This record gives sequence, structure tokens and C-alpha cells, in this order.
Amino acid sequence: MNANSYLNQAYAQGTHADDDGSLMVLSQRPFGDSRFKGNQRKGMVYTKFGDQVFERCVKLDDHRDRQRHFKPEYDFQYPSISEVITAYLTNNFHHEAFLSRLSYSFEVIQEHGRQITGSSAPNFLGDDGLEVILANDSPNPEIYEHYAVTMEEFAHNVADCGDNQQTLLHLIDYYQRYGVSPEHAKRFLVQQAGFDLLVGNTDRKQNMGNFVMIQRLNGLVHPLNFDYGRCLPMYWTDRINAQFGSGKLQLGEVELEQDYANDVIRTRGGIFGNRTRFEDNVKELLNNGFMPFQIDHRTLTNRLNDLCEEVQFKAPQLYWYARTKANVLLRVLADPKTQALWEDCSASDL
Amino acid sequence: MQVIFKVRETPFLTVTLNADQSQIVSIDASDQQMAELAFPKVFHQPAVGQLLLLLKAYADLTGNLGIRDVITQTGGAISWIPFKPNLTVVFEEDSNENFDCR
Repeated sequence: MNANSYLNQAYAQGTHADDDGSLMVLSQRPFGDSRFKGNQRKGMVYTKFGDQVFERCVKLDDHRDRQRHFKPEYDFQYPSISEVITAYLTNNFHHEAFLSRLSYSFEVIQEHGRQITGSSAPNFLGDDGLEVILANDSPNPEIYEHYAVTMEEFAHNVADCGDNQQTLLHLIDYYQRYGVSPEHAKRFLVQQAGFDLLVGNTDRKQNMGNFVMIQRLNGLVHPLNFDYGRCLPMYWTDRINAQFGSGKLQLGEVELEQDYANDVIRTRGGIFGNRTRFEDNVKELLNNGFMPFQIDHRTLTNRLNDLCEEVQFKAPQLYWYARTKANVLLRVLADPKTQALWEDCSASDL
Repeated sequence: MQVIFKVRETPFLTVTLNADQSQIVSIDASDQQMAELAFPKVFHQPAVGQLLLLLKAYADLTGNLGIRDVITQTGGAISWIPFKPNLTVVFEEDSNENFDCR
């Protein structure tokens, strides 16, 4: 077998994607697999350039169960926007952030003639890893599912636990069961908790499927920070969008954006959100060795501008929503309450 | 008969069956955790029936099938599993077992 035989086989059997930069067109083969965790339809797609096959994981802004629909709010209808904006934040973390950086791209995907927004990312498992999910979300695991933590343990000690320190200790124990050292687990979990607090991630503490690791062939296990679709929560509906369309609301409205930024902070997302005051959660994080994220703020700002232009080009109906969400992220970063969570490492002007 | 689980092209778990595929006779894993991710019951007194159910799920096959049927229908390998990226399975006959003995 040659080194590319896996990808060639995957290309022979999987869904193909042709991407001209503005539209990703899927082949006629069925896309996605409902056995992936999560509510969004997702699956791998394959593209061939010359002899080389490239693989990406695609998540559609579409419910995996065709009989069900997401809530009408844009955060549920278009999680790709939150995912990609948050990914741009993590992409501008200094490399010592101790969090993986999964690069999500915004996509408009055509499937059987229908266009759907979504996001795509490289196969985060690399070429030598298998995915590990911390705990089962059903009492009866499928025959191909392996968990070292039960649904009841997670529910009692993480999802329903109201104490930051206890939650952390239980999670360190759980990561150890998969071979992650307690030091590694603690460092990762504390950094991830700081990330979730900063971006108001509402999809961690209650979701055992969003504690993920990569088991590598060399025996090492790497915790992974991923899935940003419920970060930067922001109440946005068709009615609000129409107000931008009619000119009743304008981009950059300070009061509106600051209200949204306050909501993100009030969310107290992640495992370190148990205390009522945001600052008390941050203090506990720092007591556990949290290291503020080094963020290249200038590059982040520029890249968010580029992203919003991309959204305007690819899916103009989402432009106001994306632009406002990007501005909200910048306002969250500017808020005095979050200053202990990050430091600006932008190159200074010469 | 050997059922070899791999990450792409690299094997990490070999399950050896007896000649009529009615029993698992040995399990050889280079990494226990990796082995459990591929075959969760592998270290818990696994039965051929469980292995068969697993292989049918990986190969997207249904119905009353034996190991031989799975091998026939997959052409001797499950080379891509849509919901388990990187995992592959290959079936190899023992050198002295070159006939269908079912």
C-alpha cells in the first residue's frame, strides 16, 4: 500500500467537493453520516488535485435529523458564523496558548442543487489518530463506541456540578482514564475553561460530546479544543435582520453591540462559570494556573474584516449578523472584565 | 483468519479467529486504548458475534451475515468508514487456510 492509499480509497467511496473559492459543490453521493455526534449534519469530503487527494470535515447549518429544525434564532440557524469568527480568534492565539487551533472556514455548500451555509476544517485527527469522546450521551452505547466515563458520572460531576474546583478535579480524573497525565489534563482544561469564559461558550459543560481527545499511534493522547458553534451567543432573528435591511438599525451601533457583549460575559460559558460574578470565576481560573491568552489583536481585527467581506460575498444575507458578531467579539476583548484573560501581543508600530 | 484493524495503513490490533470463524483464538494489540476505540469489547471476553456486529456496522451491512459474507461483500477490506475517520479493517487468511471452510 502506498502512503496515499487511504485517501484514494476515501475518494473512491466518499463525497467529492469541488470548490471554486465561492461555492463548494458536493457530488451526487450521499453526504454526511448521522453516527457523528452533534445536531448538525456533518461528514468528510474529498477533493483531488492531480494525484493528490485532500480531505476536509464539513458541517452544514442543517439539522442531521431531516424531520427536525433548529430554533429560528440565527445562532441556531447559522452556527457556522460563530464557529468561524471564534476560530479566527483561536488562530490569533500565540502558539503557546496550550489549545489546539482548528481552522474553520466559512463555506456555502451546494448539495443536490440546494445551497446551504456551513463550515469546513481539516481532518483534526491528522493521519495517525482516532477520535476519543469523553463520555456517552446515551445509556446504551453503540457497538463501535468506547467510553471510560459514564453518562451518569458526567451528568452528576460535571453538567450538574455547581463548583468550579470540583468540576475541574472530576474532569482531570476522567482525562486520566484515557491516558492523559493529570498535569496535562489540568493545564488543558484550565486554558479551555478560560477560552469558554471569554467567548461565552454555551456548549461545553452540558455536552459530554464536546470533550474530545485524539489517540495517536505513538500512544500519546491529545485533548482537543473544538466546536465553536455555540460561542459568542447573540440573540438575532429575521426581524432584527430586516431592521438592518430597512436602515432602522445601522452597523456599529455602540449600545446594541455592547448589550450583546455584556450578554456574552453574562453567559459565563464553560466549566468555570459556576460563580455568579464573572470576575470570581476568572480569579479561580488564575488560582489554578490559567495563563492569559496572547492574542495578536491587530491581526485578529484585520482578519475579522476579511472574514466579514467573505461572508458578504458568499452569503450577503448574513453580513449584518456576522459583522455585528465580529464587533461583539472585539467589544468582549475590550471589556475590563476580560482583561485578566488575555494580553495583546500585536507587533508594535515602528 | 485474521481481522486486522489499522489507522490508515498502520496496524494496531489483530484478532485471530479459528478455522471456521466460530471463536476468537487470540488478540494482539500494540496499543490498548487504540484497540478499544476500534473494538470496544476487545478486552472484555469478546465473542465472534460481537465482532461480526461491529464489522457489519463499519461496513454498513445488514442482514444475517457471517464473517465470510462480510469479507466477500467488502472485497477483503473495509477501507473507509464514513463515521470513523482513519480507521480501516483488513481480512487476511492464514497461510494454511486457503479455502472456504464455512
